[in-house]
Amino acid sequence: MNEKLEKALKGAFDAPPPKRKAEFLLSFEYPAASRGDFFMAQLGYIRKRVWVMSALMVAAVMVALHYQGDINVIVWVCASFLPFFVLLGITELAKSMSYNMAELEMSCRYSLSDITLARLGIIGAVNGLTCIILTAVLSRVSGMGLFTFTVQMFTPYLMACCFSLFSLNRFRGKERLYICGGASCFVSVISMVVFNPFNIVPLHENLLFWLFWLSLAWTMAEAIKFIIKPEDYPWNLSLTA
Amino acid sequence: MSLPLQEQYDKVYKYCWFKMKNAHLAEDLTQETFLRFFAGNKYISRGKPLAYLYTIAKNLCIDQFRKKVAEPLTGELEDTDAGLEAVELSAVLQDALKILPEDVQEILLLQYANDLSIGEIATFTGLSRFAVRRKINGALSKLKSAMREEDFA
Repeated sequence: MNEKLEKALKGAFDAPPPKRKAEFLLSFEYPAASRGDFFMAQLGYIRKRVWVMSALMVAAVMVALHYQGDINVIVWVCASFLPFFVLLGITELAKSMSYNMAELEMSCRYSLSDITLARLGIIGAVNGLTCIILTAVLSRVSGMGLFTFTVQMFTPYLMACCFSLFSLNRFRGKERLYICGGASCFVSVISMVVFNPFNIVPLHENLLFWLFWLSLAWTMAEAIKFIIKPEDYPWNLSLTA
Repeated sequence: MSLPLQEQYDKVYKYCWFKMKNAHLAEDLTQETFLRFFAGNKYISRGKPLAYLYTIAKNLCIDQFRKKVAEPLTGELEDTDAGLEAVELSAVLQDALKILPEDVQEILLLQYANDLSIGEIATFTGLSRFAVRRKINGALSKLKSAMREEDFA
């Protein structure tokens, strides 16, 4: 009886069909969302794992610092894990393109490049914030100079960034995610084995600095290419639809 | 506003029609509701947009009542494909609804016809969630007993 009654109640308040609805909605000027609203909306689409991993990383460093092992080991382990942050960010950026969201986004006010840029900005801000916290906490304890610390800590991160952006710019579909995953693991292992504080592999003293500058320049070049590239997608999809 | 405009137009129109019992007037008030809702641009991206939308509609209906007396209800029931039983049930229900106070009818409209959540109804009506639930349950049992009297149980 309840179900029947509730179903009947749905129709009990039916009104005669509106006559001027289409005309009104066509002429209605829908207020545009502000840039702030747009960013907040994009924030909601970024998967929780990005936030959780960032928080876990910072928490792990705090715990490690609390038990105060060798600071060089902490820096080494953190630097080796940072490439996985890149992987997290890259999976977010690739999500939109992998699922062919471009066609859908073409009907919206913001273009795919706007959306990609917004997400890139948000993920970059989160990663940046995490890096600032790690730098602030660890550089003081480590006793290294800020620049030396930055190079030691973020060279693997930048290497993972440039490899991942390189593959995003050149490959299509899901395979690029596997390439990015492979690149992050590769950089992490290289960092673990080669750039460790125990000098297992003897290195030229300036090699890390050169790698840092090279990775930074390459990352910037690939990032610019990545931002400009989405402009082509709507055209390609229009032509192939 | 992250609400689908097309869908909300029909629901607000239904609400205004329930209040005014005049299709033309209800549509005027619906359109005015949306114009005012979007004119208050600062509020809509925060807070409770549905409650705000219905509050504007309600206030407009009250203003209209003050201006003039509404036209009487025609009480026409449109025949649907749902079958004879559904039409009969609908007719009996229409009669049974009349025994309920208007504020309770309004809550039933919002809950069942316009799919508002209990929380949204509570915000809009200014009642607690518990009071809204109690009113709905009370109304349903009254409707059931009224319909039993009509041998429709």
